[in-house]
Formats: sequence, structure tokens, C-alpha cells
Amino acid sequence: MLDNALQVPEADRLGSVEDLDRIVDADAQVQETPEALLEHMDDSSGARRVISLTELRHDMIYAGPSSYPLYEYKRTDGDDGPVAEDDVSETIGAAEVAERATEAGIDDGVVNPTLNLGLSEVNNDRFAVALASAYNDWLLSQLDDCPNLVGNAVVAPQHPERAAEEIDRVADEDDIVGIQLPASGLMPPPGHRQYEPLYDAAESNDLPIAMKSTVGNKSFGQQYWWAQSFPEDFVYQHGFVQMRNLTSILFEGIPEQYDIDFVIQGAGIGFVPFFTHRLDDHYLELGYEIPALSQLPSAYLSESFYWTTNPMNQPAGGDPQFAAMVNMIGPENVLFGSDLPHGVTDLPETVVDRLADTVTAGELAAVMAENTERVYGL
Amino acid sequence: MTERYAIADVDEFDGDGSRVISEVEGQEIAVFRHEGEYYALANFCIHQAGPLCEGALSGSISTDEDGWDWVYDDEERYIVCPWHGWMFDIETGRSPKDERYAVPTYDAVVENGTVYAVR
Repeated sequence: MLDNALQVPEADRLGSVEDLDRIVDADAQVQETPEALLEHMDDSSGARRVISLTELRHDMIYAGPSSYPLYEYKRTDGDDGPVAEDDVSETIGAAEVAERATEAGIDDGVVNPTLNLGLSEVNNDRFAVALASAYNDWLLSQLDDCPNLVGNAVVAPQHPERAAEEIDRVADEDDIVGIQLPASGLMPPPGHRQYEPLYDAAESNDLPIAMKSTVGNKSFGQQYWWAQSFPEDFVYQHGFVQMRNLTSILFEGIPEQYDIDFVIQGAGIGFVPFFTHRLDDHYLELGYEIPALSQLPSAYLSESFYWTTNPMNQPAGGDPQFAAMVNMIGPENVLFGSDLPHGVTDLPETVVDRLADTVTAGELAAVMAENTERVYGL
Repeated sequence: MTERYAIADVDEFDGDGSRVISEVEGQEIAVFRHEGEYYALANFCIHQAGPLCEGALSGSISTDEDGWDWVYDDEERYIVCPWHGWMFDIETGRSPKDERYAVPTYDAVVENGTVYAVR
């Protein structure tokens, strides 16, 4: 039986989540709003003027036509009262995220943006660069009063040279521990040579690159436009976006060229074993078309790619799939990620519960805290 | 203990690039003639158990020192599995991309006009 084969001796197991020294979240989110970003743009900024013309509707700033407004409407009581706490029209600042993390038993965390996960889909380069800088300034102001949170600075992939300047600008900030390269809608894909300045800057500042996929936008190319509904889009987007991006990064030799750690967020870990074997398979078959690599793709993944756990997307009640995935990937490459404050949050006890019998206490401590601390240098 | 299998007479080979596949004691062994020498390996792809040695022989594509220009070396010493395209050096049995991936090889010995696979 799969679950029996995975089990570790009882003496090596963690008892419960309370037995962990600490829990560090590799994937929380603050939630910025257009209004919040405006406060960090000069009055004379053209981007500020453009934002003001959108009536501050995030879907007019970050995305084209989308069924997302319908999804949001469903999460109200019909009188505009929210029934969930992740309505993107409301700011959720770092202090509130920290409070929710504490309630969830999380000691420390790394936060990402929300709206700006869609930054790759902004058509206007000047606008995108301005949004990134405004977000980073807003984030830094938010983190000033939150000693338990640090963050990934977002960069605008539309202009890699400006992205590099932005990395240099914020890299010395104690609260900035990594770079968020918005994964969804990223075109050309991130292995393209145009991103070299961005990777140069991340490497020279010794900052990992996080890539979090999102949904509800024009994220995954033309196929999105035929999604009949939000769930038809939502189910496949996160994983497929990451596989597209990572194939590009690997086969174009980014990890051969740069010493950068990558943190892959938002798609869970279920796709990783399948994806890894597929990469190796095609490298062994068609490696002559992939001259940039000197070893199997799986070797690079082991060396410098990390996967956050959320969403677990696993059946309840002792199902062994999640534990099997962690063991196949290797616990040293898996990072606990909650996705707080959003509705699909995976709490620490859920993750621990699924792994307590199948990885050692030491490995579980690494998944729940130490791996993230090592990757981000916390 | 050394095993020795008679695979074919040398007359059965049609010059360099030709091959003979023979079933011996339930296993298929292929012998290739390449630049006047004989090389023997199992007709079995470690990927998904395909009939490796029934595929095409190929040279290899690599990049030059600056990592840009593609260079094709037309020395056809790689056997390409007809099922999924994994390729192996007929002399070493190893994948050109990762030497940990290898198919079994045999020493090919010619005695009195017969090619033997020896292991």
C-alpha cells in the first residue's frame, strides 16, 4: 500500500503542529488597491492620471475581459456585503495579514502582492513600471510596523532594464527578501534573453525570484478566451502557467547561466513530479535542441527550485497523495505556503496532519520553516 | 562467468552502418558495424522497453564553444529508439546527455568469420 510504504518509524515522527519550534510562511499575500498605490505616485505622474481614469477598477488596470467580476459578485450577500474576506476591492495591509497569520499559528512570513500578480498583463510599459515601484513603496511602508513579515518586491517584466533598476533600488531594504516576477501572462516566457538584465540584478543582489501564478485574467494565452466560466479558467491556470514558464526557464538555460533560487507559488506541488519526469524525458529524447543545459532538468530543479504547498488540492481523510508528492520532490525543496489571507488558505495543522506520518520530524520542520528561512536568508 | 553468444557471420553485415539483431536465449542482442568495428548492445530501451536497436542511427548535434552555432557531427554512432527517441552511443551504451542512463553492452569479438557478443 502506498501509505504504508511511505510511513516513517514512529520514533522519527513529529507529534503535532504544536511540537514545531516555529512556522514560516513562504506564500502569504498583502492586498493592495489602486487607491493605495496612488498614494505612492507623484501627483505629476502620468501613470497616476491613467489610474484615475480607470475609476480605480482593478479589472480595468490589470486585465482584459474577465469573468472575475461575476466571481466577486457571487461572494457578496447581494447587497454588496462581502461573504468572504478576500474581496480585492478592500486593502488588506501587512498588519492585518500578520494578525491573521498569528491566529493561524504562523510565526513569520513572506508576503506577495495581490493585484500586482497580474502586472505582466499590463500593456503599457511605463504604467507597469510605475505600478511596480508604487507597490514596492507601499509594501515597505506596510512592513515597517510588522517585524514578523518580510516581502518580495514586484518587478515589471515589460521593461527588464527598469526591473533591474527597481531591484537595485529596493535590494538593500531589510524587509525585501526576494523578487516577485509575476508568472501569469508573462510574455515572452521567462527564459527569453530579454530578461537577462532582470536576472543579472537578482543574482548580483543575491535575491531569490518568486513566481506566483494567478487567475481571472488573460493569463494563459488564447485558451483562456474560450473559458466559459471562472471555474473553467481557475482549475487549470495556475499549474499550466507554471509549467509553461518553468519549461522556458529550464530549456533556455537560466539556471545554468545564473545562480538564482526560484520559489514557485500558487500551483501547489501536485504537478511537480509529473512535470519533472516529463522535462527529463524530453531532454533525453531531444537534448540536441536544448544545448544550454549540461545536466538533467531534474538536477537543476533539485538544486535551486522550491515549491510552496498551497493549494494542497487533496482529498480529506488520510489520503496519501500529498505525502507521496512531498517525498517524490524531496522535503528539502518544499516550502509551507498558506496563501493567507485568501479563502483557499491551507493552515499549518492541515499540512502537518498530511505529512506527520510520512516525513521525519526534521524534514517536517524544514518544510514548515527552515527551507524558507534558508532560501530567503531570513 | 563469461557468456558468449554467436550473433552473425560477418558476411551478413552490409558494410558500415549495418546491423544484425539476433535472439539468443530469450534476449535480443544487436551488433552494429561502425568504421570497420563491431559493437554489441541489448535491443532494449531502458526508457519504456522499446526495441531500441530497430531505430535509426544518427550523428549528434551540439553547440560550438560560443554556445550559439549548432554543429552536426555526422559520425552515426548513436542509436535512436523508434518508440520515443531516446538515443545511446553504440560503443558505450550511454546516453549522450546523461551517462547514468545506459543500455547493456557486450564486447563484440570476431572469430573465424563469426561475430560473438561476450559479457
